[in-house]
Amino acid sequence: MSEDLKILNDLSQNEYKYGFVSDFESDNAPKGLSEDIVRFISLKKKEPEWLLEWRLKAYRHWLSLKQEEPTWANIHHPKIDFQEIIYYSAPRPKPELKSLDELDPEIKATFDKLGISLEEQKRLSGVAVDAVIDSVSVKTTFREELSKLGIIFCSFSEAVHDYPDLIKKYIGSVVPMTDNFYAALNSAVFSDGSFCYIPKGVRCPMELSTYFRINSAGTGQFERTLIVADEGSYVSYLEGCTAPMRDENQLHAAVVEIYAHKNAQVKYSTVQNWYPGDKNGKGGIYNFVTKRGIAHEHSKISWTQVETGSSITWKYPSVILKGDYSIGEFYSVAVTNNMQQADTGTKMIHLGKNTKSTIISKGISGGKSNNSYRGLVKINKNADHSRNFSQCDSLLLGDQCGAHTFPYLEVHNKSAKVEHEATTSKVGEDQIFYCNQRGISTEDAVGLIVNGYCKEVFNQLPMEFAVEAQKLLAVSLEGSVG
Amino acid sequence: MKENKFKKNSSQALTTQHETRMLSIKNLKASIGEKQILNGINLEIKAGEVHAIMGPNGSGKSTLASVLSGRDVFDVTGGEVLFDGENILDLSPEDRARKGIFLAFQYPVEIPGVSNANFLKTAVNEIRKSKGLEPLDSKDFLVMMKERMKLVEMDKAMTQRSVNEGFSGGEKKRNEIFQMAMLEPKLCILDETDSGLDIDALRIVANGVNALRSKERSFVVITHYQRLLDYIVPDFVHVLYNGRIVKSGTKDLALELEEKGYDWIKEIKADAVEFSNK
Amino acid sequence: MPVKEFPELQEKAISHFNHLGFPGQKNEEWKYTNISPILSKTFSDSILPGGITKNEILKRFPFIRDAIFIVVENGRWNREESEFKDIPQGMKIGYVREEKNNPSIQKHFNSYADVQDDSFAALNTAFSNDSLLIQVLPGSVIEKPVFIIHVASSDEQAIVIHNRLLLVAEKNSSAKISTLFVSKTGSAETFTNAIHEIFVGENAKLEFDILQNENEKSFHICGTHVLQSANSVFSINTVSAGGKIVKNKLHIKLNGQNGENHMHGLYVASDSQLIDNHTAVYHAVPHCNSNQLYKGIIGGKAHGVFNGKIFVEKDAQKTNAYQSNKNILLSNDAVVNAKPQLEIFADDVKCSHGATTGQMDEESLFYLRSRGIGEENAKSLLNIAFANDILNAISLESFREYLSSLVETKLKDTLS
Repeated sequence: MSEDLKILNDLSQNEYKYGFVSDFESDNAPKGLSEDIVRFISLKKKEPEWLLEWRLKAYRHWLSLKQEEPTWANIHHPKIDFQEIIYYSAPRPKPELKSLDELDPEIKATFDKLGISLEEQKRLSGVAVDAVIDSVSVKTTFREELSKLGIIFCSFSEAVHDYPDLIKKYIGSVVPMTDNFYAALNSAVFSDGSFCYIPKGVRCPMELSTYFRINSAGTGQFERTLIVADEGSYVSYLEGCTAPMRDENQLHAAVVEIYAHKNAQVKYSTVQNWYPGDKNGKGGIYNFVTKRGIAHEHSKISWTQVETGSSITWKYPSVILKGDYSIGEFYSVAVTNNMQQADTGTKMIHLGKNTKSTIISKGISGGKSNNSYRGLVKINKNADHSRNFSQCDSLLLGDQCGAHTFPYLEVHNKSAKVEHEATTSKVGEDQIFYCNQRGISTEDAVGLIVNGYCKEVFNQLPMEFAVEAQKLLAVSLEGSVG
Repeated sequence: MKENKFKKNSSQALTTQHETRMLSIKNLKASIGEKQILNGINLEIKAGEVHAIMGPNGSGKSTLASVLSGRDVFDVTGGEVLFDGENILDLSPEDRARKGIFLAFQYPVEIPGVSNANFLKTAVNEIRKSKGLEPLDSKDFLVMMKERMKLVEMDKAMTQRSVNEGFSGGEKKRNEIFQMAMLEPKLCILDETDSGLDIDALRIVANGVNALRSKERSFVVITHYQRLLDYIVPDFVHVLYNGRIVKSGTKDLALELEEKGYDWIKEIKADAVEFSNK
Repeated sequence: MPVKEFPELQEKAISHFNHLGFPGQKNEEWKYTNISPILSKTFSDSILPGGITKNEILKRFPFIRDAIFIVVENGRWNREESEFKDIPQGMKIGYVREEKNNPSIQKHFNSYADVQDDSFAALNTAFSNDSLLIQVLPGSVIEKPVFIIHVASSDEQAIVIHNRLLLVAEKNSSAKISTLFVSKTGSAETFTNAIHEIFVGENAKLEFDILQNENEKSFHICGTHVLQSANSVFSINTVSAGGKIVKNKLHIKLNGQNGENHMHGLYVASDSQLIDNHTAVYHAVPHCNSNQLYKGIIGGKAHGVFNGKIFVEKDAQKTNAYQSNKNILLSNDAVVNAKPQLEIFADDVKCSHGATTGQMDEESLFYLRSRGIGEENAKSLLNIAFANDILNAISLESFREYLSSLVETKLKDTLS
């Protein structure tokens, strides 16, 4: 490695700038998991009986798995003690808010620090925001404007009370409670999240957005997001995440379900920046997330993710291409630095005829991190004329890190066409020198080149998010070249 | 050296002298691995001058360009290079660039996904920052870009494309000159900019260079062929052989070389070596 | 039971096997290959000579006429019917057990096969009893091709056969060895479990070809384990056509700088065949090149599996590793599962892989038809062209031609 890169390596580790702790009082459940805790959560949320039963069923299924987490992923961590986690933590309830101004100033300050001042968002960008702190959705902006179009955008708990039929119909319809270990856990103890329904033929006029934040110590966050796009509708949904710096590992096990009816289009973008732990791998979020969409005839589900945070990421946003001519897309940038581990990718399950999927994955590893792409493309027997194209590129910064590619291609139909390509490369020294010769420092050159490398994915993000993602990338890469 | 610096700072007369002498290469030696490539180069370039450096393949022309711009695959084993009176050999490539040394690469690299415009904006503003100037905002930058694009007949689409990615040979070289126009360097080193260009592309590139000639700006034009010098007329021509300048002259020397070939130089060189050994 | 060749190793292997058991589909290496059809059979290990003759062999495989060939029947070397009188100088053919006191041979034997991790390698070690040795002595360049003809034959009862080969190409040597697995005409069910251990010495050049063409009732599991030294070049070409279930495991470790290898594979499956190729290349040191191209043509209700791994260890900078897997499906009941896998721990490397599955190129097909070639013919031409990409890597012309016509015949049967 050249001298320049050594200098880069010596650059101090950038402080995780979202690592503040907000000091508002929370209303916590006792540590540990039992039927009683599940009942406690359900009671706290004044849930109907059927939902409690649903939770208990999930809990019993989870119990039957004997606390054996899946082990197939290329990640390593000490066994999680599920009895050491607090499963419910809510900011202490205040009287019902009539306007944003009444929001707890501490919470508001938290959002201001996150750069998502609700006021700002409301006034300037026209993004409707649902903010979830620890486990509870705090405030949903823009609700009224949306409701005029018949769009429902609210916290999951509100939806349980206000739209029980919709929830009952769609909850678990894409990710069954028995789907996997973490999905079962989430189904038992989920505390809040967002719900979104776009009626027939409606094009949602603004980006809908949820910011998630884990604040309290020792808690896990288990939110659920459910998006239902009715026939011919369109919605673009954004999700952002941060958490304070803590020495202990915290668990985040979320479930996201997308149901796209005939001709509907759903675009789901994530910028994931949970606390990644420190340089030596101490602390950080375990991010075990199940995200899946089901696409009916002529519908389209598009996942875009920029994953820079979490000490461990285990996440495979997937699409079941059920209807003929449905489309699934997955665009991903996953950056790991220091001791981070990511095992992420997608599953594209082609069931309908003439279905099409595209996978573009860019993995960037620095420090002593390990970054894995894991993906499945399955063409079922009846999925005539289906197409898949996958491109999985890895970029290594330094020789202490690892890049891994595990694509599974299962083709059961002769008229299908499946193409997979993967490359591994590094930032070329000649590219850095070229930039240097034009007066650009090595650090900026690496940022520039890496951003260029990720461009195909950033192009998929809404404008404001793309800018944030680029900045985030620069921050996560600092000190990564060695 | 320290003494020199002191003199420079204390004596008005000396400073003036330094200002006219932009680049001084003194007994420069460089190697790659075990192999010595530059064997003691001496060259003085004053502001506003155009120097052509010619020589057969392997004589060290491109190495000289790389060493001047700070490529670290070469080890400088002796001598010094003064730029505006300051020894630049210990400076990083970006610092040299910020001081005004520009290299038009023989093989410009491709940087996928990074648009030309974004790349240049970053470069222009870093150079401005080093001079204590405010960064250009997007509007001013675009105006500047639009104006300089004309110099090398670039179209707008080219600035939106990724740096050199998928460019033809001619487009790459035009892009180098366009960058030169944008970064406004003091010393421009053209490393075989003419190689692989057809006559039309060569004319465009040469016109761009000529438009950038001024009393303050100097050029080092490295080439294998005399053809380029019909378009960019040099003040001096030097012949490099075995890592040393073996002959210097005016533009007539280039014509003589064209006629007699490099073998002629090799004979002179043989004598010179014998002489120096004695 | 015959007397054990290497009692100690064999005892140990049995205990490994007892520990491992047979792999199920939860085992990632066997995810797509269900071996219960093998396990449900009762195999006998009472090996009887099949009574094949040299003439029969030569008639079936005319291209070996001028070569050295060894006939191995049901795991036992049949010296009578083999042709090895004119072994060139610099080449040794014999039993591993005859070299028990030769440390330069013993250091290779049972050193590369993954006896501790692989049930079938353990079984092979435990029960193979005629381990063959081919040694190419330092500096020897062997021009004459060498064939090993494995004939599986059983009259009635299903039998299990353990074949074992140790191939040592010493420093600066060069050779071409081909091994054929076939059934005796009319043979009943057989289960071949073969292990090849190959050492390629410094600056040695070795080509190793495998043809698997046992009958439609047979099972075949084959492990090939290769260690390459500095500046060596190793080529392996695997052609799989016959067998009910065929599973190949090919592991190559590049252990010296500037090593190079070429791995080619062709699998043509029809009816309810399952052909599975698992490859793994380990780049342990800098400046090595590996190339893999595996192609499959799958028809009927057949099932093709490819899993290729490239590992580049931390110190293996300047590695070039390339892998490509291409499949054509001929019917809607045919299945392909591909898993091309990269695991990279060094940054200054060029690694890429690609995998495609689809039908043959429509445009090419149209082009041929527009020139007056009938559809069936055009398809068969294109399929053979697809296959020839692999077969062209086989340097022995007569062998290549034999394989080409074998593939052609099989494709015609599959398509009609």
